[in-house]
Amino acid sequence: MSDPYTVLGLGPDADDEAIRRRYLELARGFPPEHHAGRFAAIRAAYERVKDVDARARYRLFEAGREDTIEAIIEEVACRTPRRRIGLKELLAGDRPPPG
Amino acid sequence: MARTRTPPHPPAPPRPDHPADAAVRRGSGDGLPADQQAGLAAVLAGFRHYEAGDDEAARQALQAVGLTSPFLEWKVLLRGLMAYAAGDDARAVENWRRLDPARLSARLAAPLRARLDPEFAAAQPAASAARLRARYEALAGGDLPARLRALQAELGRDKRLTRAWKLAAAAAPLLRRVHPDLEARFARGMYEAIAGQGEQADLAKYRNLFGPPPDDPQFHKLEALGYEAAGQFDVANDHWARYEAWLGSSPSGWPAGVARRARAIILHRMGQNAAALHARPAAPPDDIEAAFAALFRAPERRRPVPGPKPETYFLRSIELAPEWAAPARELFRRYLDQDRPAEAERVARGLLARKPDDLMAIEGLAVLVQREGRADEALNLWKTALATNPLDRRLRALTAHAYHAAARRELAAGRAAAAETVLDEGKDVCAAEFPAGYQALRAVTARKLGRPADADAARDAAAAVPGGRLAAALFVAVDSAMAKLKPADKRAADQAFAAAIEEPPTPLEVNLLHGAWDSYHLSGVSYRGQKTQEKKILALAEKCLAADAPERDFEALCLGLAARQHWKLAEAAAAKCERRFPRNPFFKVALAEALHARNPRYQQERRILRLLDEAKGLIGPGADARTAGLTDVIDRLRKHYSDPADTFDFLFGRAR
Repeated sequence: MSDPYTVLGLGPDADDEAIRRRYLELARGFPPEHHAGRFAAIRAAYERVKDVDARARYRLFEAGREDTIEAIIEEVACRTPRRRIGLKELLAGDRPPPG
Repeated sequence: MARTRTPPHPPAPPRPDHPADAAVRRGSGDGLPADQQAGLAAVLAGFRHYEAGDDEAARQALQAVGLTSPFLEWKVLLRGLMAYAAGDDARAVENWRRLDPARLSARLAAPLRARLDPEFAAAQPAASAARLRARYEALAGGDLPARLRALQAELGRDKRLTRAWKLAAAAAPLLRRVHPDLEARFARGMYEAIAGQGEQADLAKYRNLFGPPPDDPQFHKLEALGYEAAGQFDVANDHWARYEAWLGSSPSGWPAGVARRARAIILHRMGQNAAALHARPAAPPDDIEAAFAALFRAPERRRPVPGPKPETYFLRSIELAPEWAAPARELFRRYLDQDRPAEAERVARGLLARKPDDLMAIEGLAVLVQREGRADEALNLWKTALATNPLDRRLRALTAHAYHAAARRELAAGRAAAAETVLDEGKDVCAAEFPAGYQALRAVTARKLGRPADADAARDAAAAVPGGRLAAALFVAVDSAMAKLKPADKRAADQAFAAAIEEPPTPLEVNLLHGAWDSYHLSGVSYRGQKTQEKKILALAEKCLAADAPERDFEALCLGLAARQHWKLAEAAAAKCERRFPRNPFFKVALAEALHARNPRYQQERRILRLLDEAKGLIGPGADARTAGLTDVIDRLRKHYSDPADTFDFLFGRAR
């Protein structure tokens, strides 16, 4: 999840105070010693929108940069429910050896 | 403990199938020994039950496959498939790790395993990894990932997007139907693709497929960024101007404060673009092709129209975001460069009125007023700057320098008591940063105030500062003249300085003397005989090279000469030291740097590169932090001699 507003659970019109309050709330809920990855994501999201300058720069130059086709393929793959892959289907991808 | 196998590569396909594998592939037991027929039947039945969603029946069927059966591999594969379908990835991987890489079952499991088992995936060569990923997407995700993957293969390459648009048009409706919430991200992905490799025609294709992008409905931002990247700042500014106007129209989804700051950022950027346009040299070729075109007198490219001055943009940016320092700082620097001090001061004072703690503005203004000889104002500004960070070594030195300048100004104006007050106030910082200069000033002040004993004591203290003998003598001589001491006192001070420079100097003494002379020079102080004195002072740099002194002092001397851009002296000093201390890489680098600064590129290239190679060899892998720092300088210098663009810079006389 790369959109900082989504990570922080805030709308794009949140102001400095609301963003800071929410960041501290999340940082308390996911302290780095127990949730290193989650905390890093929260911290990175906060840095991207913490003040009006950061928010404007994010919106102008960064928003959407991580929406690569590769990322969308990953997302689609994660969302697709597990199928029961049959024997014929499995064998179809393997060329039989000569003879 | 589970048997684990992580083959470094996926199994090679051409090997003949194991008889059991061949039987499963055929779906019949023809040719299999009778005792293996039951195993095959169990596996085929197991797969039928599993495919029908009845895992319990599949497990029952597989019980007929024993530990020694050649069909055990298929039992393990199928158990992994059942775990995978149930979302139990750990169990699936645990089963598939037990498969024999030489068997068909391992090959069939590989695409799924590569997805779930990072260790296995990391062990695959790139080509195999891509093949497994594509196979996985075909098996697990149906059509959409495969379509997206085909699209992705067209992106990020130096080619047009024509085929990419066809693939995007095929994938978009499917994505819209299956994952409607991903459509906006898909559109942004294509927007970025246009930014990276697109052309005008792609904008219409984008609009047809996705509609206008909400944050850039007319694509002006996209075009501005593209033209900026191509160095066409005039066209970029046209697009930025339109984008800025759009942001000014209160577009939906843009909070007012963010839109306002975004406009200020854009105007600041336009100012920088305009500065680049206005600063362009007369007719420099922009690239190698242009250089050759110029050589053969091809028609010149139309010069871009510079448009409004950068100041116009910076002022509008400040107007929109007065609390933001960047445009005001840029405007301040620009006015200074254009020698417009009054306007620069107005900008800095305006910024300080809005942001009193802006250190860059305080420092910039302090330097400006110091240059104009307004020593008291400069001192107050430096004191304010130091108050923001009292431990900052650089600020302490600059503040001490300002105290000295203010004291000298009082002395020159005949107010010796006021000078002493200034020195008393700045005692802590001045005595710590420039002890020789401080004590010398105290000596002159005391003599002016009629306290010869205090004056002698302070003068002796100045001369006793390690390495400060020459600097102290210079300070006393110059400050005595500026303070208009009695002729006898001035003469005595001059004679003391003349006697001091006759004695063989050490590199430390010379370095501090150069610093002392610089402090007058930087404060804009001028006096009779200054030029002659400068020559004598600089000449000492060569005189001290034979002194018996630590290597570090010679290093400091070379550094000082380079920092003051006395390249001829720096070259001579570094050359002598390089011969005297052949195992010290510092002098080789210092000599290379001086040669680089003094000579046209082609004349000394071989010598410079040889020196840099030798220095790098001496630094070696186990270097300490000090010598390791030299590596950066070596790399920086080397770059000048390895970059073909630099040859063109040289040929066409661009500044280094």
